Amino acid sequence: MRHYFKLLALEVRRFRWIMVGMMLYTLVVECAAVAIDIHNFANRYGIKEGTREPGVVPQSYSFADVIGNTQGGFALGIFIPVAVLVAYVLVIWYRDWFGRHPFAFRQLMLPGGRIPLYFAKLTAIFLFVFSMLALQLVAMAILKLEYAMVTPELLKEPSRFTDAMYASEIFKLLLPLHFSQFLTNYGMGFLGVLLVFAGILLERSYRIRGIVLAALYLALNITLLVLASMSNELSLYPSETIAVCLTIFGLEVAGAIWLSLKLITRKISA
Amino acid sequence: MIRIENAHKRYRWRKVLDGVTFSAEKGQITCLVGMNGAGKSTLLKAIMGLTPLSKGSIRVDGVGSKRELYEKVSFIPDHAAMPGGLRLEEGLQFMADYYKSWNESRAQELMTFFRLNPRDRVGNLSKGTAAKFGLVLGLALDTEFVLMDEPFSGIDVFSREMIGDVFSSRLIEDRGVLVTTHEIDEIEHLLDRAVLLKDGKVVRDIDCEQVRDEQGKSVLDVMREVYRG
Amino acid sequence: MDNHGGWMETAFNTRDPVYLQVVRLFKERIVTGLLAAGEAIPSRREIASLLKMNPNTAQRAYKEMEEQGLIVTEGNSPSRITRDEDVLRNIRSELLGEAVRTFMGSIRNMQVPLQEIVALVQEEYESDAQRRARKPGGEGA
Repeated sequence: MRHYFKLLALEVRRFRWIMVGMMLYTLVVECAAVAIDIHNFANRYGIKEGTREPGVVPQSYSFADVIGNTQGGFALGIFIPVAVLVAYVLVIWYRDWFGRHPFAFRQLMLPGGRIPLYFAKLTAIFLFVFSMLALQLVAMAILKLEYAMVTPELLKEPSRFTDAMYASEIFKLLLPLHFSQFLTNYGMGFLGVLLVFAGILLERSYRIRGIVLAALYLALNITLLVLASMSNELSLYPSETIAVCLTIFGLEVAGAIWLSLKLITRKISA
Repeated sequence: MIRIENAHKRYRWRKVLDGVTFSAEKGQITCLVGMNGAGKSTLLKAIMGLTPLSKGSIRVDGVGSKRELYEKVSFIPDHAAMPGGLRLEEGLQFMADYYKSWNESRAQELMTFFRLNPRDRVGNLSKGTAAKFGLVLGLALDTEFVLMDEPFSGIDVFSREMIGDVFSSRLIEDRGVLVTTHEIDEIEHLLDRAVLLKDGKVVRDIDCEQVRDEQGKSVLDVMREVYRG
Repeated sequence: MDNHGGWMETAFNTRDPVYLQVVRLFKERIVTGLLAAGEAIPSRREIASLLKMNPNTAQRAYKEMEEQGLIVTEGNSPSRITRDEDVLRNIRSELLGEAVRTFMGSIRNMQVPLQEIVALVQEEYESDAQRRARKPGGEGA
């Protein structure tokens, strides 16, 4: 366990500046999007310039409205970190094999064994994903403060935090309202990472042949998942459908971990 | 003793190792000689479990598990095997954290001997300096065997001399050393044994002093016979 | 040890056994007086790192020297150069004989009469002695 935590700390350390950079990027983009949106809305009524026509009563503009209208900006702020994290699922392994001083040599020769290495990398990815998610929640609080500061009094209207959150399509995906949906989204993400890890380890073990094996392996797993999701057309009870899906999911998770550990302890080449 | 028996390894369609058998004794300096791509590095990696053999077996005396292997055999690849962003002192700390056999005072001694700056970052080291740092990491482990992969290749002449000095020092004494090289000059007179690889096979396995004694030949002479003939 | 500097200048050739080159080195140092009879010599470990050689080879060289009666080791004390006059004399004549044979080998084909050789040797010997006298301490190792 000690080895695992040390390796995890090292993974975090090696990614920390990219992480900080992504967090700043997200914050800046989202703050800017909100500021611009409020500014534009206020201008529509000439509030800022003082050219407001006395007869027109401006429509109020709540925080939820702002979030609903800045989805483009949010997509921009979130898409790049998500892309970076997805890429890092690959890079977290390959960075140790390439470069002038391939660290893989050392990592694979640690007396603590290689299983902690696998789980450290896995945990690191999830730590990064959930850190970004947590940041997004913090960002929402910051954005709400920003709203309170920059919105002209005339336009302000209170709104609930959750309404604001779910005014955005992205949030519905990142943080689904229903817990079961949350589990499904992140469960699939988890499985996805496990499968990609197994694919990477296949490639690192068998190189060119490994790529073919990895492609076949991923295709098999995806096919099984699709079949499982289609099982509701077999006129089963909903609980039975869920049971089928959960079973397939569990088998795929266990299979991916088993295969990965087998490869990393026996077959991998530095 | 490290015993390698009938080692086979293929890379795609090429047979890199085609039935290699030899052993490296404790307390001796054994050199694996061969042209580039002769499978020398592959053999060292196979001993360390860094690449599986297609066939054959490797035994290290007194080692039953991987965990024991890494405490009893240290491998010095031809690079530092550390993240480029790490400072040298952090690299040493990393080793201290993971290895029971880590000998901190010896590590410091070696850092001084090679005149390395603990505040430097691994990524900024020249090839020669990185090789020295690699030696620090490998030799500061109190292991019974040390494997070195091409310790002299691509390194300036003064660094080569310094690295050569290691072989006659007490850093090596009583350990078994298995070193690969394709240029023998620096260490020819330091070797106990030379194992010559060609086309994935052991073509000569010689006791260096014996060959000089009985045939008046240098290791280089024997290499000429094998690789030019 | 006060003669570290002297040891470090050694370069080995690659065709003769290293241990015999070490034995030879000791003999030369005895004959030239760099090592005195009964003088303590570096340990095997020390000589290995001084001469930048394999400790096993150092061990073998010392064993060979012990067998030849060149050095003696008593218990745990450091090895010493023998005090045996016969052995020391033999070393001297061995090296001299070798040097002369080498010399002979290199002039054999020139078919020079003995008197001429003796004269040449005498001339060379005297001018060398003069050169030494002019440059004290310049005898070289």
